Amino acid sequence: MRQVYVLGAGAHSWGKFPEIDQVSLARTAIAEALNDADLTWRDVEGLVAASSRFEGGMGWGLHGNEILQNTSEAGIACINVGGACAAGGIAFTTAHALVASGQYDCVIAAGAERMPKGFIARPPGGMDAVNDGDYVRWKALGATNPAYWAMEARRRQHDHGTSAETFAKASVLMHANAVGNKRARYRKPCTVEEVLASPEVADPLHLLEICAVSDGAAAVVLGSEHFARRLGERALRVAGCAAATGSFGDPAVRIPAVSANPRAGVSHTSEVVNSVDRAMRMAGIEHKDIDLLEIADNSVWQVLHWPEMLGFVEAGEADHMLVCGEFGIDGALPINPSGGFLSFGEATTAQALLQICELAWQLRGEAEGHQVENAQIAMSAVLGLGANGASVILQK
Amino acid sequence: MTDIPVIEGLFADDNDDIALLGSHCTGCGSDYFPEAVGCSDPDCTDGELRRCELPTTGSLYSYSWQNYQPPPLFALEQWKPYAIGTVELQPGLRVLARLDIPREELRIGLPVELGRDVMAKGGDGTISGYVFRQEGTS
Ligand SMILES: [Zn+2]
Repeated sequence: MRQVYVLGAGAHSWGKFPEIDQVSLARTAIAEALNDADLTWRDVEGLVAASSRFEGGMGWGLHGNEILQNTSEAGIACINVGGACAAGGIAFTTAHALVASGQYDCVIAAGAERMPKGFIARPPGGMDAVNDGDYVRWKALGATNPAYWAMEARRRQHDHGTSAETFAKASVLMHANAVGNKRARYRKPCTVEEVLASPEVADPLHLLEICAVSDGAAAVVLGSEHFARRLGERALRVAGCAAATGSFGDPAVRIPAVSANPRAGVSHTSEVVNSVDRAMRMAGIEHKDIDLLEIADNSVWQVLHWPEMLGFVEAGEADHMLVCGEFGIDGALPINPSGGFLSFGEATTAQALLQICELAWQLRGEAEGHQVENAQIAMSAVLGLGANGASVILQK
Repeated sequence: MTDIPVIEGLFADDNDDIALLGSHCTGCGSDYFPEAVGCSDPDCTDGELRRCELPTTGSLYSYSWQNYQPPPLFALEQWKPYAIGTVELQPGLRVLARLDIPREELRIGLPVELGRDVMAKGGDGTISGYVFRQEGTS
């Protein structure tokens, strides 16, 4: 397998842009990434686009061919991959494989999303069968995504005694990190009191403790040694990356399922744990080597649970780490120095590529206003509906 | 007046005896809810799935109080904030459900039992759903 490098990163800002179509969002992100890599579309040999498949085969997300038809019809490979909210990570992993295999020297991974307002609902057109979990949860239970996270948060309170204030502090930290990040959608700092005074969405989670939905786009240019050499120090090594699915016996009731079959010894959110384990094995590194983490904080619960489930801290220890400031930009293990999903809002399939852009900006020292000092190795981890996980490790 | 389940095949509802319908794997013994197409245990290669009725009692593993109205596909006609929870029916099987339990009574470990409720009334019948209630209250 050849060494692969991240040559360029680019992103459209995150927010609500009702006047801008999806292809235009993607074109903006890709143009920035190509410019960052000092390359043009003529150098590109492949495009991998992140999209989404739900139960019943329905979906949404980016259609890469549409980008090419509006930008550069040069006969290159175009691969559209599904993976729901992990799709960006899976697109990256696919692009990595295309370069690592020696098939191509320059491939773009891109995601762009325009989200409907409010709860992420079921896409139309399904068979509406009883064995379709997504149909059952909406039709019979009205189980929104925040309700799933809320039940996890409630259980954490029972298992580890996490207080409402500690959950609120996770939101305060994410928003504080975003204050200096020009790309974030929400850049106003908030207090524990404000978080707890925001409307209760699904007890114990308040509005400021769950992520909004946003429009956004992000792209990464991956390349071989040939291109990396031309770029010099700005090229970053892909130390590890992996896509994974869940393990049988995972205790999580995964969105959009309406049941779980827990078995002893199986990790919670195993799709993400599996992807992280695999990426770390590929990189040949240990937890202590990682200087910062970008994780999918769909709610404050993930900010506390994920560092534990990924093996960075012992179960139940994250509360203490958070409260002591160890998850902050200057802490022992910075979590989401970007501000995370809570400060960007989630543009589902594009989100994991934004995480990878953030890793690149951090490692190059270009994370203006939210820079982790002297970061050498950075990791992303993301979860997608339907048991999709992906993780990327970049190294300076 | 007819009474139809919110989703055909989700539960059996005969003479007020309600049970969730699932699949039992003859190979590894796993029970699934709702009915599944195939067994997900990677070590189980020759199991067949048979339709089964799942246990009707369990304990509350976790819960939430949902304050915002879900998107319109939700069949509940008279919407108001309500409890939703995960119920452990047996070791190795947890199911998601609406809970017909007062907010102040909700606690992890609460013994619960399955029941039915009316989700909507139409011109010629009612749509029924499944809920869990505190054991002994129905
Ligand atoms: Zn089986």
